Amino acid sequence: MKLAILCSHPQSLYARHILAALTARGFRGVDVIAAAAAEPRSPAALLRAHGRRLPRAAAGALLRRLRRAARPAVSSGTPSLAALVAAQEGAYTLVPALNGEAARDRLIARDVDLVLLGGCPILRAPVLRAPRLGTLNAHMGVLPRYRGMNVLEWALLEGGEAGITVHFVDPGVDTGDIVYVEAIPVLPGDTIPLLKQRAMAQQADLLSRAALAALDGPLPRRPQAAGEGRQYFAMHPALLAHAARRLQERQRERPAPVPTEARA
Amino acid sequence: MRSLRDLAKRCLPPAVRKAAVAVEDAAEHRLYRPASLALCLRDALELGPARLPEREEACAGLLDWLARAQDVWQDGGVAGWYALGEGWSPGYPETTGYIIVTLLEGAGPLGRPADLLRARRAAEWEVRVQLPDGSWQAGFVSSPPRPAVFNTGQVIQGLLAAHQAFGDTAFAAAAERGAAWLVGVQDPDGAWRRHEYHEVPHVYAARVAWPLAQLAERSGDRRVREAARRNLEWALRQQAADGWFAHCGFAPGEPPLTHTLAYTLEGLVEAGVVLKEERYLEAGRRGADALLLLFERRRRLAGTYGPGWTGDYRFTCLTGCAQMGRVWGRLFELTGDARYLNAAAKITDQVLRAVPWTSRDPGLRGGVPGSQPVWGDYMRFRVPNWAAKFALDSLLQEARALPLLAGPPPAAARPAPAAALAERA
Repeated sequence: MKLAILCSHPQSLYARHILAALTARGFRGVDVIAAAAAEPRSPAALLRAHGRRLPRAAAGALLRRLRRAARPAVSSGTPSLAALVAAQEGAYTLVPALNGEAARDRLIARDVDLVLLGGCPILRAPVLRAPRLGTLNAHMGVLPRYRGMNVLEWALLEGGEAGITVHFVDPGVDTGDIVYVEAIPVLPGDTIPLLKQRAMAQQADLLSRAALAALDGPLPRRPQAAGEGRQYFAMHPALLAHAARRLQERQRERPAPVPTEARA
Repeated sequence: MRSLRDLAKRCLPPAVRKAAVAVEDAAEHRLYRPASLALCLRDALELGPARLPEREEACAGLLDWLARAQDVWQDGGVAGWYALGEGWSPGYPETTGYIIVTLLEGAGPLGRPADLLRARRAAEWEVRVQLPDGSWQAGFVSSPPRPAVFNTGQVIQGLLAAHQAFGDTAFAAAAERGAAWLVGVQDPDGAWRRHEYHEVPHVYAARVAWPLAQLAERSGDRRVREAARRNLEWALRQQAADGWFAHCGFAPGEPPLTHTLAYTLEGLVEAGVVLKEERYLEAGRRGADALLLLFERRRRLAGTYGPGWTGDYRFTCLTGCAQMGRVWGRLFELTGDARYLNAAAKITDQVLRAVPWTSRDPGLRGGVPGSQPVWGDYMRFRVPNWAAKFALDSLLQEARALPLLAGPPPAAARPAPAAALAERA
């Protein structure tokens, strides 16, 4: 079975986690298709693209660059993602956009059976139709209840279950068929950033388990009914502060045991 | 000047036309003045303040602006707006009316007892300027007095709040006279057409039904309660399946501003609470939900929304944004769904970013422009007093709502609206 990971950053940390988890389970020849970083454009091209929003766009770009510099995806001594892909005999491809023809054509040309998402924007139908078995995503929230953004934080705020859902990707927002759901354990001393960092590794592991299971036959699929879930959006700092407090309250309770088997 | 604008629109190429209009605007609105120029440049470059003020600081800045607007004419009324070209307008009875409510609500929590006196002075002014037939007039107090339905409703709300705060029966009596007038000019189908803007019915008169319901709740006046219900039932009939409202623009055929949509939603939600009528609350919620989705997906609200929620994003109606902050915050209080509070906090941030907090012009400093950019189609180059009022309302609502998050986690399931009404009304 031919696997490919799609990611929106050329050196995606999450894609590295997924690749490592797959390699640990014996997979080789996994491809990675990454969105290339935007090429610097001439001032005239920038002015045409942004018009009067140019100062804001420039400020935003600078801020993103500073943030990347402050939190590099890799340290200087770490092999590049391309090198890691090559080491397990996969192909690393840069494309202008994950929703573009280049990405779709690459999936078709490489005869990819199953795509795993390593941090991507909403994908459109042409790309989703390319892999034979479909596209899987590990969503950092329990579906169908928690769709959208910052769902771990929303679950903490609302006293809901913190968990990861592996699901097939359809053109909706986290609306595809559910494969696995697994709780995220809350440990003493956890902060939200720590929890999310650990959850990222858990997401990668759960995705790799789903890929392994796909070798043995069709994956279990539970469709999500229309109107079954709720969509959440980026959380305001005032609510994030409350979510952090709820996490502390949860830690004072007895922590939930780590599940040994993901439920379908 | 107006003929130059017309000539420009007809004859000149678009780029030249824009430049000609800009020159005319600069002259008419005195945009060459440093503070006005700074505001325009800031909006042109889409720059926000260096630092978003803390909530208490923002409240103080907005209240200080309202205080300056009230002190301009020394009669207790609040100047309707500050115009970049012309300065302060005369007092505006309609909006002074509901500003009373905000001053009273904020005085305690914000530690500003002087605002109680300001509210009282405003209420006394309203009693003085009430028309002989019991109504309040359209427009400024200096305008030829013409009775106005919507304006009367807003003053009634302020006087009810003033009566509750100070116990002065003159306030209640004036409010009751206003309510009797409203009942008298209402059409049988529940809409108001006579003495309405452009003499057409508006669904945002739900924000007239709300104070009528409040008055009826206190006085037990069945006629007033029925008038409120008739109007709200009419409003429900104007709502489309997707939550949008017909007859919500100022003029026939005009797409409604976010401002008038928010008036409608607030009126329905609050009247629904007062009258314990789930259908009104649900209608308001349906519209609010539609706007919430639009806001979260586009990260801003359009200035106007036509049928099917088709938005005009060339400008933002800051007043409407502030109002939606209050409406969503209130829906969180009523339903426990923290997504409403989340959207409210975000849109309040947007409104506060548009305020020139450090302007040297006291007419701009701490005021909320009508539109962003300031030359947008609503209250062009003006800083209306009701925008500051609604920004304060959203901040006060947020201050009431945020502590609710510290309580037991909100119910995972969406509570039935009837249960929410019973608990939180």
